[in-house]
Formats: sequence, structure tokens, C-alpha cells
Amino acid sequence: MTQRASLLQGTLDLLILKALSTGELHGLGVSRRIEQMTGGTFAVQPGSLFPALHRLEESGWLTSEWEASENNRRAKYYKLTKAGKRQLGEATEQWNRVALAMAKALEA
Amino acid sequence: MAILARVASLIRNLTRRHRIERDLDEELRATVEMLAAEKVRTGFTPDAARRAALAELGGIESIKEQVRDVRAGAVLDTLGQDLRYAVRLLRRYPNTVIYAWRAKGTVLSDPPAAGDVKQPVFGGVLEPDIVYVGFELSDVDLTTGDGWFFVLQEQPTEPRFGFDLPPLSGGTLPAITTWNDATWAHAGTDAGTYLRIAGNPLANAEHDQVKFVSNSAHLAALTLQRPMRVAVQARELATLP
Repeated sequence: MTQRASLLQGTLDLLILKALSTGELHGLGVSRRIEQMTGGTFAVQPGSLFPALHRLEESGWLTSEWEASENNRRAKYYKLTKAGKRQLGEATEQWNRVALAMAKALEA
Repeated sequence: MAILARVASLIRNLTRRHRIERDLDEELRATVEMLAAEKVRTGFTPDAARRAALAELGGIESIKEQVRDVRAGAVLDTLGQDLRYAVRLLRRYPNTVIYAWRAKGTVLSDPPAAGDVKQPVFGGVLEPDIVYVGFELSDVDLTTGDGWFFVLQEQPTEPRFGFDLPPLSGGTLPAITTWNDATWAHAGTDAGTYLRIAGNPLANAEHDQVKFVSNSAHLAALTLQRPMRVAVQARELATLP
């Protein structure tokens, strides 16, 4: 069984942006997509997920719309804005630099 | 138009909190339903699925509280900007009068019948920046029929000349259909500086039978700033039961 890890500060926003990079999803869909992308390593708790989604929307990186879900229920779908796509690119680059530096430091 | 845009933004932010609250409530309820449906598909009874979904979501009230904190910060930021603007507006136009006017559909009941316009019964200023007015209107008055508008009206004063500020949102400038639509940006000039006549982008433009810029009378006519009047549906401002 995969061991669940705690999310580092700041990585949740990046994971949400990445989860939405392939298309719009509702809150639960974002959570499931993150679990799937990380092979079950990260399970985002709703208590962290919803405030983060709303924060990213306030920042102008996401927009949301009410639409019918896959089961014909009404659900609020989030999608990346242009600014959100830019932010995903910048945050990914920054993350890669940090990850590389950490890996180097730990091997030293 | 810049003034109208800022007042509209103020109204949106005042009403936005109610919409966010309703939206969040519905979003979390929909999430519980989707989670419960997932569990029913794996063999849970509907009741057990709902209980398990609620447990998985954790404390709904606590999630709402955290989202409110995120949203309130943003609302307060923009609301603060709008209120500062409204205060500057009243300082710049201290003769602005505020009164209530009965609504007819989505517009003012014009011409007003007897009793359709109410003046404030009290008012005052709390230094440094709060202006308050009180009207003899109850919740029932505001919710019955078409309700009431609150009107902010600049009193005619000495003529002022100039253009409006360009739209705050930036982007392509709206087309001019009347000289009242023209902004400093249309005139290729920064607000507050001198209007450049030679080589102006508006050269030879003609609206309202006034040409840019044939003579000083035309220049005065096309830059005359008319007094503004803004009406806000009272239901959008008041917290009603």
C-alpha cells in the first residue's frame, strides 16, 4: 500500500493547477485527479482543497462555472485562465529548480 | 463612465458576499451528493453513503469558514478601494444629493407621482470619511412591488470641461457615439494635462453635430462634463430578511 505523504506548503496550488491543465474539473474531480497523478501519494483533504480552489480563483488563475456533472448533477467546474496557465509554467520551472537543488544538497 | 464603473463595482462587491455564501453552500452540497453517489456504486446503502460522504468531507462549517476567510480578504481589498473612491467622489462633489426614488420595473418611476421621492430624514458625517443618511423606508417597502432606488445626484454647478477617465479594465477603447463617451485615452492625452490639438487622434471626428475641433465653442461643447446621476436598486444594498 502506498504511504500517504503530507503536502509541502505551496505544492497544493501547483498540483491543483497541474490537475486542471488537461481540462475543467469539479472540486472532487480535482482531488481524484491529484491522487491519480501522484499514484495515491497525495490525498488532498477537502478542508485544504476548497479554500485553495477559491484562493486560486481570487488570484485570477482559475474561473468557475456551474455545469451538469457526469451523473447529471449540477457541479461547479473549475478551469485554468490564461494567467493560470502562465502561473503553472512559472511554478513548474521554480519547482524543478528547487527539486534539483535539494537533490544535489542531499547527495553531497 | 469611469464614475459609473466604480459605483457599479462598489455595488457588485457589496452584493458579492451573499452570492459567494450561496455558491459555496451549493458547491459543498453537490460534493457531498457526488461522494455519496460514488459510495452507493460500491455497495453502500443511500443513508450509509451519505453519512460516509459527510465524514469524508470533514466539518462542512469549518471548510466554509476557511473559504470565507479567503474570499473576505479579497472582497475587503476591492471594497476598500471602491469605498475610498466613493468618499473621494463625495469630497470632490460635496454638493451631491442623496435621495430615494420609487422603482417602476427596472427604472425610476419617471415622472414621479406624489410620495414616489423621499428625502433623507436624517444624515451626517463621521469624520474622516463616512457620510450617512437615513430614510423612512422599511424592509417591506424595499421588498414590495418594484422597491426603491437610492439616487446620488451631482447638483449642477459651474461648468467643468474635460473628458472621462478611460475604462479601468483597459483593453480596446469603446467606440464613441456621443461626445460624452470620449475619454482622455481617445484624445491621446494623459488625464490632467493639456489637450493636444495638433495631430490629435480625434481630429475631424464629429458627433452631436460638433466637430473636433472647429473652434473654441465646439471645443467647449465636446468637453463639457455634465452632472452625473446614479441610481442603485435599494435591494442590492440592503441585507433583507
